[in-house]
Amino acid sequence: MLLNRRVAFTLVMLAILVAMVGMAAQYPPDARFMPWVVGIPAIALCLLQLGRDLRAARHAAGEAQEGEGSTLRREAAMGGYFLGLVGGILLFGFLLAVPVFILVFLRHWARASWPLALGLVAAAAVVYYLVFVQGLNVALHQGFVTQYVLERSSE
Amino acid sequence: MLETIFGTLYTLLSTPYYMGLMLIAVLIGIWVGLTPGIGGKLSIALAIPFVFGWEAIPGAIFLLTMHAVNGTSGQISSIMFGVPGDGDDAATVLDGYPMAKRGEAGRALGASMTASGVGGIIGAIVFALMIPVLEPVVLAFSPAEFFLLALLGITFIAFLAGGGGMLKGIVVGLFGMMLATVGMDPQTGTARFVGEQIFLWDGISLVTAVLAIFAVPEMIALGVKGGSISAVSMQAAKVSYRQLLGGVLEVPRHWWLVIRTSVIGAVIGMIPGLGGSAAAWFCYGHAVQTSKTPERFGKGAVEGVIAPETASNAKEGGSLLPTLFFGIPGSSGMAILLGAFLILGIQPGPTLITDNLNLVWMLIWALVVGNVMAVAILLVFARWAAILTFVRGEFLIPFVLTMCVFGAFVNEAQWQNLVVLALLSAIGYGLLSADWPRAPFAIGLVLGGIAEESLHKALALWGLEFFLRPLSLVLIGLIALTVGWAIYSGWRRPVASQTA
Repeated sequence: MLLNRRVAFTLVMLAILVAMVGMAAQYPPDARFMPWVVGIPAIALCLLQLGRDLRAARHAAGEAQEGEGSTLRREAAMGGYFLGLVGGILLFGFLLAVPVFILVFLRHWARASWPLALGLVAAAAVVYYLVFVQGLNVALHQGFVTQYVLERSSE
Repeated sequence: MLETIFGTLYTLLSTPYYMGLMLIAVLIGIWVGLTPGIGGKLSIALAIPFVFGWEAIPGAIFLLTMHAVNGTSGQISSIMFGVPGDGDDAATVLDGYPMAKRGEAGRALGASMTASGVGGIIGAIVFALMIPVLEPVVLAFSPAEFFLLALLGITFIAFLAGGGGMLKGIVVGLFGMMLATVGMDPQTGTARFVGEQIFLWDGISLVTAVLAIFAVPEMIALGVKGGSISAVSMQAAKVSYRQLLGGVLEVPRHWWLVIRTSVIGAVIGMIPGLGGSAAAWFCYGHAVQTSKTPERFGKGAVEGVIAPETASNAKEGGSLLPTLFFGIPGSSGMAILLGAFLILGIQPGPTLITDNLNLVWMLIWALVVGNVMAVAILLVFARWAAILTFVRGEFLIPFVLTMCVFGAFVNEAQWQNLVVLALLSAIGYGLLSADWPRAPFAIGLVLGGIAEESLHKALALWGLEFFLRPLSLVLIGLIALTVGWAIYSGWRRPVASQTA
């Protein structure tokens, strides 16, 4: 199969670089100077890399990729956890999303027991609260849904 | 000069705040070195949000100490389980693991920890001795050379990837420089690549980018891989103090080897792109070549543990030199450290020698004192420290990932940075899983702004003739050689090795 992981990623890099060089064309000469100085050689080298990857993929065509399916599943699951964490924070805020994420991950991915998972969540929540809220005095993102609910409930 | 040298040492030792920070940094550095799944680069990336807003000196001392000592504890898993913590420790496995298998784990650990600490100290001394020699060279550099140095830094660090990875490394470095152009152009005031997103006018947050490219992908990869590093029982990990002391005494017994390999390691560290693995392997080879009984190596010779450990820690002092004075990181860890220094307001370059020598000496002493602290702590707690290598990676993932999101947010208190974190993490994981080097990205992103400013200044001063300045020609020649070699070796490399 020619479109393996390496070829696909090189194509992604190439697409990003081409898009940025293309966008820079709209800027005044001085502003587009650096993006072009850097971007055009990067595209040329990326094309070379694509050639190498395609050459390697052609040689590897037909070879069975052991465990590729299960790796993809685990990658998708891990990516899902991370996106869930980011999405959860954006919607529900740090104070809700972070403990829930840690608990779900420890229970379902790391297969930790309930007492261990709850203990670790409690410890992490205390440390994060002391460091970020009390120590660094950061106003953590409340979450769009949480903020909406709090505003509605205070009306 | 002497007043600066000893004044900074006195300040460091007599300020409880600095010493307290260093103790914390040493403990974190040791923990990072011992724990599977967390490397030195990742630890600096995670620590950056915490030092944001600190004064330059305490922030730099904290990060450098943490970075410098995690190699000292990294060899425990190499010796006890034959599993190197990272590339720098791989050479230690050759003789350290056979020593452990024949019941001399304590002796090997004592020798490696002491050698590592002594190597770190000698590396710092070599760095200090180079300052007067280097001063006139650094001051001869103009904006033209600094632009070319940024490009040279990327091409050199691409060597870290080795073989066909050099080409990828250069592309990644240029991509980092490209992302450095996101935001308001300082020349024209044009907002580049920002669309409607005003928060991007100041550019992509360095902390967010570093966390996304280094920390998040490592955790996803750790989750995908699963399991614990060690397959050895807890009982087998026990060591005795008598053996440890025996190992410590091996270092003065082989003092001449220690000095030679430390100096070689420091010099290799000064050459950007060669990295710690090269220093360790080179010095291991040197120890074999100069031994009267080379047949003992590979079967548990203590010199085979001492040589790579002194070299890999001595190179930290050496690699600080190009990082601080030229803005070219001497290693991938230094690339992230350089980014952290910029966040702390430390501008690498010749002005450090002329205007901020106090900071330079403070960092040198931090390397020395940090290594002494690390060795002392490890020798006392080595018996228990080994237990940390049994921690399951899966238990670390949620905590490191949550630290990443906190870090990305805390830096600028912008929720949009979480979206940037997620997007760049996807690219970061792509780089990791497609076997692209990531360190050049950090250098490109860090040096991109400096490079653009220097390029515009050079063009304003000399026009395109800046390329013809003698020093510029030398640098262009080096870049051309490096890129040419990358392309040549990439096409010559057997295709089979890429598909393996």
